Amino acid sequence: MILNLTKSYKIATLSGLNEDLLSKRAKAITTIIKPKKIDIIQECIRLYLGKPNENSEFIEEFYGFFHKEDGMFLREDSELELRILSGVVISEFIKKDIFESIQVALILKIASFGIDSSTIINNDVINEAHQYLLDNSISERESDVHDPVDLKTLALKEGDTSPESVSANFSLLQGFFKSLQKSHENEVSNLKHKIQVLQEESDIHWWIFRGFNSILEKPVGELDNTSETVLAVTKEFADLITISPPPNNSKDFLKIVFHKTGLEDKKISILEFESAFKNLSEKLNLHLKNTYGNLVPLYSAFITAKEIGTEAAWISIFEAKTKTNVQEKFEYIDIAEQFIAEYTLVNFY
Amino acid sequence: MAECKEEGCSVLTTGKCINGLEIDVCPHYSDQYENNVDLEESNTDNDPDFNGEDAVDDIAPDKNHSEIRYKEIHRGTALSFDDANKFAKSTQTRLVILAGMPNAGKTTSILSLLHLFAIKPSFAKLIFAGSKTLLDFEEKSHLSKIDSERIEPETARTLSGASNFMHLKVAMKDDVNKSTDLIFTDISGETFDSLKNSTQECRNFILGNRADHFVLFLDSQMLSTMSKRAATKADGIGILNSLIDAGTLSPHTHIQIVFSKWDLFETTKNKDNHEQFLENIINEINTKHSTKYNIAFVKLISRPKKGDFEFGHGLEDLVKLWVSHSAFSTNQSLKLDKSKISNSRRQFSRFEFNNK
Repeated sequence: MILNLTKSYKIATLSGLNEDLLSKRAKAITTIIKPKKIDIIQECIRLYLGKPNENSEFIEEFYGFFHKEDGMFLREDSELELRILSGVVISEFIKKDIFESIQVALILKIASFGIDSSTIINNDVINEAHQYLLDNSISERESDVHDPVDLKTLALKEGDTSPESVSANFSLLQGFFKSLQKSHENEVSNLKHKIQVLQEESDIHWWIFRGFNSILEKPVGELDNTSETVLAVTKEFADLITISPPPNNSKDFLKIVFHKTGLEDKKISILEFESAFKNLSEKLNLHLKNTYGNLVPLYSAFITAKEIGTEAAWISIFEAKTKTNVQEKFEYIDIAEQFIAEYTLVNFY
Repeated sequence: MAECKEEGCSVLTTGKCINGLEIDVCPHYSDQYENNVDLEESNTDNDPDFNGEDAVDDIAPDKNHSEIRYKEIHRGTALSFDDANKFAKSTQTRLVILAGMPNAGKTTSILSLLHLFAIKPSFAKLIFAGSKTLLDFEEKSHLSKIDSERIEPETARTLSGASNFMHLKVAMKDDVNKSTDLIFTDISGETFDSLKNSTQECRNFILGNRADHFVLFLDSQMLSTMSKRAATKADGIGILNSLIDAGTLSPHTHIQIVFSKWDLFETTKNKDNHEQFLENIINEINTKHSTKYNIAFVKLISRPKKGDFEFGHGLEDLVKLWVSHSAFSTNQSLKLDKSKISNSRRQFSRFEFNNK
């Protein structure tokens, strides 16, 4: 049962909610998320946030899922309803808590950056994504300890050498060794993960302690109060992250470093950040692959500016694609966190 | 790689479309290269299945063509419940319920608002951005105009019956892309009179569940008349209490208590006495409901009759509330449960930068 469907739907109707209608919508939503197709969920994110869809037929296809369950659902004047339903689809996909859920939550968090909050319907969906990422960033860095298989539990028939006993004992041993192997593999995987967690922590700590930026080739205390500093420091930090989602307190680690640069009150726009990227592109060694299109605003700005060249043109195209204002100022730490999220998404998934 | 197929268009270098279109609506612009089949060069002569008629059929119909041909436009009269419901499904709307006893000034307030938008370039830093019910507004405001040949402006009483709705779209003066669709109920005072006496009627009032704003009109002229003020208070607050007690008005609905015809209150005799009475009303409502509901009190003069008051006094405060608050606009800052952080076994996850 989709619990937030009733609450989400209220905004799209003046009349009371029909149980039968909700049931049909819920059935369609279950059909959409069952195949775990990320490309469909990405398009849902675009629809939910009011960004242009990459697949021009998506809205019709999306409508088709619901029309199949409810023949009375008319396409005409259903824009808001479809946006609401896309939000519910995203929310339900994240709640499935499968491998792809982190990716989807990350995409939603990233894509909502810079979007006018008054245009977002049902902000709970974004809140859920943030909560999911926070919870997973902690749980991914805490490994459970597995108890090894207890040999004493094996009820081997000792002493009896009859063929039946030997066969039974052999089967028991076979099962036991299979479990042991699986347990061993899990434990090895666990330990590898634990080492990875500790390595990541250690690298971050030593990076802070070292206090030197290799991209700008300066001690952190000597870095200027500029967008280039923000980008260079953030990129270096992002390279240390080996587990997704990024640490929930990435901002706090960055603040330790930025505190030495006097950046506390700085606000940066996407335009300024892109300019910083242009100035540092050779030193950053940033591979501009982007399979997420307009869902990753910073990468989208970097790529569009590089492709188009002329500032007025790329800004116009970028703003139309992402529904984000390049001139809007953000706290430096927020744009840094956004870069970390995009970098993680593009490199991990 | 982006491209524009329109000859002579320099959108890729200047950002400006030669046809003046936005790139997300321009049919010639694409940010992905597509292999389009050039029909003129297709070798149809060698195609055994080809005939002249098929070529016509094969040309993809202009997708926008049928949308341009047939566009349903509302005739301008009041929206029925179904019309309003349909509209609410298509775009974000703010439902504003205008409640109160008969002749409290519910309809007049909205007509005055329309009038202000008509005579001023902007009002409350907003501009008029359209209405589906302009004809209805015109019909309703006829009795207030010179053409009606009346000595004093009036507003016709709203008839009892099925609920109708009025629509007004406003946009920010400084950013016309930020607009708000307001849907006002056009419900007779008699309907509210019956609501306050019946819990079942209140439960059936489903609009209350959805309302972004519930605006309760209290006639200040009646409140400043000794023989009528107690009943006016009881009737008005009765409507509010009944709807809240029946669970119809949820805490997400913003409530405005409007003291209408305030000019008549201000110019009455024994004003001090009546002011104390008014203060008691405000205290009573606040005591009972302010912990659960967001309540504002507004003194309104939709159409001044006495004193030196400006037309539509108080409407600016009201309309600003309607535009800035929605039942569904959650506090956009995130509300995260951070218990997992504090319960984490790892100091790394619990670290917080505190520059003190």
